[in-house]
Amino acid sequence: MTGGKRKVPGRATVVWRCGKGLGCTLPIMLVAGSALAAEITLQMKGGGFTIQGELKAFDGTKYVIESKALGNMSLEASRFDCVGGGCPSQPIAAAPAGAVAVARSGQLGTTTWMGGSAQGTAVMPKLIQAYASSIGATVVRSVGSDNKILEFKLTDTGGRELGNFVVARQGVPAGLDGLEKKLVDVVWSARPITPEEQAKAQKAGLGNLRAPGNEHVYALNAMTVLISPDNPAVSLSIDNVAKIYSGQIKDWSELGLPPGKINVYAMVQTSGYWGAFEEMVLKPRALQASPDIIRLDAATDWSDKVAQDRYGIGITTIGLIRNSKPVNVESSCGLITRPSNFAAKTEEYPLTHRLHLYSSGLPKSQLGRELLSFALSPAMQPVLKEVNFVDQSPELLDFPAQTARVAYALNAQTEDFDINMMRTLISELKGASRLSTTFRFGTADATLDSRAIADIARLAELLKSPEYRGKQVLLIGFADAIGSFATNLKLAERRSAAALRSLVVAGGAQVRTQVVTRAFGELAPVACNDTPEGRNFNRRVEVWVKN
Amino acid sequence: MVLLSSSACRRLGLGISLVLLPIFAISAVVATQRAPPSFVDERRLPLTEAEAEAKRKAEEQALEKAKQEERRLAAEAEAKRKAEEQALEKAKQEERRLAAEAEAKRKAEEQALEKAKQEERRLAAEAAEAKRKAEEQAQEKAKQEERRLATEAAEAKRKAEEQAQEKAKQEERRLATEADAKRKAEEQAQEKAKQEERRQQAAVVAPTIAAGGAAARSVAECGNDKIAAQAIPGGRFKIEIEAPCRANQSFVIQYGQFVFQRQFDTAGRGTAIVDLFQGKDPPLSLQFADGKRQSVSPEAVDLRGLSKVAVVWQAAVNLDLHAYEYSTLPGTKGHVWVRSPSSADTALAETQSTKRGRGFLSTSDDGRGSGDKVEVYTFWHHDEQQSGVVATALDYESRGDQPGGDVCGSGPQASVAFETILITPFGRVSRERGSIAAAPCGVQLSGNNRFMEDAVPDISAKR
Repeated sequence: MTGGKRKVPGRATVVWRCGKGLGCTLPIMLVAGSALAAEITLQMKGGGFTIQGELKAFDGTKYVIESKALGNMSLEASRFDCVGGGCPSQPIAAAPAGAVAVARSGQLGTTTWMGGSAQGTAVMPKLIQAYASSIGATVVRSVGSDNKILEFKLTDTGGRELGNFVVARQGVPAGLDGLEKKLVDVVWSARPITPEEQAKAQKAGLGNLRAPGNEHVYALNAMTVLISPDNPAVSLSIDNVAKIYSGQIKDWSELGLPPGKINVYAMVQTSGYWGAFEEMVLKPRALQASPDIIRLDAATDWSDKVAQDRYGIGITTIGLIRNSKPVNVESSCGLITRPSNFAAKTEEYPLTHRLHLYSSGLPKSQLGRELLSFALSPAMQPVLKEVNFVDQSPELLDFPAQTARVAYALNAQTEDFDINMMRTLISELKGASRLSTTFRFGTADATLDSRAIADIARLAELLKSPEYRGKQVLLIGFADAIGSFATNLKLAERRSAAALRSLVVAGGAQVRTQVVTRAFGELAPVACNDTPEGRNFNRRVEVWVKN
Repeated sequence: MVLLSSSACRRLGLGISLVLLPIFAISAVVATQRAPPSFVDERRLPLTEAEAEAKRKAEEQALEKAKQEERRLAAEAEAKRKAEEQALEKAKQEERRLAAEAEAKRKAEEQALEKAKQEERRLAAEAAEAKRKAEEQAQEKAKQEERRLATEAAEAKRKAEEQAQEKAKQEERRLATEADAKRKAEEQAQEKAKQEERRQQAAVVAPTIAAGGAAARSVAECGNDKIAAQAIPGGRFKIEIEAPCRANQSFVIQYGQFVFQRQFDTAGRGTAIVDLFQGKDPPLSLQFADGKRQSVSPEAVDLRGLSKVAVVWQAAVNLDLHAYEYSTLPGTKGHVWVRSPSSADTALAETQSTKRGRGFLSTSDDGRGSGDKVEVYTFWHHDEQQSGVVATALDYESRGDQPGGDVCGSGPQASVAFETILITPFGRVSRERGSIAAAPCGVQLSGNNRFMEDAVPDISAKR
């Protein structure tokens, strides 16, 4: 893992982390205080009392000042005179904790971002609203001129224009074109750019768009297969989805369902989501998309058209399921996974992919730079959660919601299957909830890697929070199914013990009173053991929480 | 008896032989077809050429057969030997493999044990170091705390002294202010007395003006307004006012920052339905033409289980809010707008019977009045519903499909500012300001530019 810290002028410290699997992504902005706060002196009218300190806020009737000697004080403006150069001439709102400081003295400029319809409709408007809220500004959304373009004007509390954010939902290729022509600052995409696109951009002088600083992963997504609520299907295998989208399966009766010609819907080919779907579903099976697919531009239509068509099938992002019915995905070994944010966070849902932002270095305008920084900061997580995209915060999932795993384990019994141990697992986990934080291991290995160690530190912090005090935490070790049951059980025990040791180091000795270890070897896999990728996911320690 | 000489006997024997030989030969030939007499030892009979050849061949065949049998047996023995060799070799390999596995496992266990011991030693060392550091820090912290307490005590003493001085000054200023206020009150009382004197003088003349017509009735006499307010379903409030002295006057409902204008009829009756699209927190009041203000409390209104999305604008144009429940098509069931508004009772009944939320247009406005205009869609949630979305869109109805005149190009109403407010069942209110961009005159608007889906937030049916 690589990473580092960089001091910026004022009080901000930027920390970034390059983790396995995420590349150099998710820089975290820590702001210790407003970089523009002024030092003022307040004198009591009539004399007798003077205080000096940093001005935190002024609403026209009260000064909020922080002094080293007396801490935070709120003083009536009618009783005090402000002397000195830093005195406010108009009300200033206090910036909330963690906010990014903005140069109020001038314009933030205009920034244009371009990409596909889904993120442009669901995420980008929320991004600008959250950013505006963090700096105490107001957003005015302009609609009706071009249905592919949304414009947001940023104004301060006095109505003075601060900047403009243009969201152009014209697809990824157009976005990369715009980046080359310097008309676009940032391109959002649901797929990584292709080597050809990378080469073209490099030739155009944009540098290596896949390098850290140019390519950013800001969220995950669980791509969801949709059908009409009237369709009785519950699960579909990825193989069958591929065959439907390549035209090999044309009627629902071929899948054992009531007959009807399948109407296949999908986003336009310029959408990053289509690229991601091709990479995950079609290309691994050497299949090509059928020319009969009904292509839809607007992201809301990807779901709405399917909801209106009882024979329809579609694909969309988990945040835009709307009124259609999502189907569970069946892997090659029969394991069924429900599309959910939780399954995407653990990356155990087979159709999980990453959402990218591309820029050529930093955007030219201050607004562009600050928006990009905001999108990659922890402040973006609640925004993603609000629009039901997959954020990075840990999430709990009750045991009853994971019974598909148990059912699979009971149905796919191997020679070594231990029913008593399975019973123990079920009784141990009933009433508990699984945390999305999961530690993964190499083959026959019980050593935590750098990403796991970072997750350990975060887990240690989480366990100190009031929400988790008094709760019992279980670290449960698992293994893939290669090798004997006994060997795998031992390996699983070593893994959970290793996780506990690291957690004690990170969280202190009191962790031992709260955390216990268990191991269940190759039982209850979360992925198929017949592929290397599936075995990667099965080599893990899960974290469960009990009251 | 004939006696023969020996030579005669020999000649006779020879002759007999010569005679008998062919007979015997023939007999031999015949004997091949029939067994010789029993007194003949066949084995002593000389073989014919053919017999000899046959015998020779038979002997050769027998010999060859024996050799073949020998070879076969030898081959079998060799094969068996090889098989035994291979089986032995396989057994040895298996032994070596098991031995290697056992060795690998033993090594792995040794390493794991060694690692565990190292880890233990490391943890013990860390724990000891952590303890030492903690003790050092505790001592340092205790010293800092001592210093801090001493500083605080000194500061507190200084502050107390300052505050005492300040208090004395404040008391001085208060007394001065009181004296000033007393003086002002006396002046005001004198002024009021003078005004009353003047008024009494005027009142002598007033009855003459009052007799002229109702319009001259003194505003100061309009004090008996009857205001009745009641909560109605769908998160709304009905206000009924009886104020005969306010006939034909307008009055204003102020709800937070929004101002809605209404009119009394000729009998001085006024009715208003206030939709609480911002929740119960913003102040609600009535303001009349004479400046009289009356606060109204919306506490009785039940907003539980409701979401509302509202569009508010000021321009004198008509905007229509459209709600499409569960991806329904325009003009079909579930498409709620001013021409198909449904109702609170219908929406609630359907929600309860289908366990799936439904809504109604709780407030609509044609844009012709003055003050703020608002259209509100209200959605009843069902507790058991886990998914579903009501999509929304905004139509600038006044400009239609092909804008012209004031509502297009650079006309005064080409661009319209609006605000959207969304309130959820848990009372969370979110707002956004918007602006409808000007459309060119005479150009047909496409579906999405006429019914603007991006203008108004959708409602999630999940509570």
